[in-house]
Amino acid sequence: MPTDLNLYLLNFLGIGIFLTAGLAMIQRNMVRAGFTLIGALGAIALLFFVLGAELVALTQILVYAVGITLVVIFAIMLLSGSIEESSDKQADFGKEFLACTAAFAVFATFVAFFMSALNFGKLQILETFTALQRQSSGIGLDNIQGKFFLLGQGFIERHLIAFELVSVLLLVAFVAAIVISGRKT
Amino acid sequence: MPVLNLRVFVFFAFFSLFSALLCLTDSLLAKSLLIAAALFALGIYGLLASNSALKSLLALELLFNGGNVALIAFGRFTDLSFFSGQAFALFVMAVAAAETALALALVVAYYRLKSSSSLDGYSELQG
Repeated sequence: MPTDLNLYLLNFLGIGIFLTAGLAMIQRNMVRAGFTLIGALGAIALLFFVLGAELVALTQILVYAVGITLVVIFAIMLLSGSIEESSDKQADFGKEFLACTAAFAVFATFVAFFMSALNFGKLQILETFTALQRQSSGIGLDNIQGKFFLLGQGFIERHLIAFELVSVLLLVAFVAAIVISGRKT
Repeated sequence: MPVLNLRVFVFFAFFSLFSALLCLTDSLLAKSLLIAAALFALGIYGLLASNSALKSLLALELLFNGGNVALIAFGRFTDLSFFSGQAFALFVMAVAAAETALALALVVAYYRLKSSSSLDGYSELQG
């Protein structure tokens, strides 16, 4: 895809992601928040697709949007007392103020870091340099099959121990989850 | 409804700032990093503002996704083989799945005990 089109796509996706994720966070109804978050995660999957990470985009939809978030929504529906967030207005105002300040501080810090240390102008040069290097070494972003092959090869050759550790971690976590939730009190 | 008004006002102020910054930048990497920073900040907001364990789990997912977007963007634009960013993002997803499974089990167990999913009572659970 041409870069100009990608720039416009990223603008639309960024605004969509922000709106859906933000609405999910400010909703009091938890089921609505969960479903809005699925929209945000789907938009993030589209962003990954635009950035050339097709496998991660598919995994994002399967694992995050459908797997994790839907399970959380089912849990919210099962625990009927937690569909609406409780509200204590006096306590909430202080908490809200603190949360808004912290969120804004985090965002401002990141943006200041990108603008000073990385410098948005330098980022563009870096981007062009990497694209040229890739072109000269014959690694194309359009070759999806080649990218999947590289990813699989990398897992087997460079990150085999981490890959195995993650599989053990998943197994242990799921067994522990079954034991904890199945225990009678 | 002062709380709702503060939420909505701050959200739209933040949204305007984010949209302006996003449209002003002209590099794909910078745009992606801005989106990552916004997702991370929204996750921090959800984590601090909510007193429900389940809402905090949803906010944690946004935090992880902010990190993932930054990893993919750096991998796409600065790594020659564009492999490392994607590999790390997949590892993050696996760890997030494990974390959510355990956290949900804890929330269900706590709900059975106290009939509430509020985070305030979790400090009473000692052993």
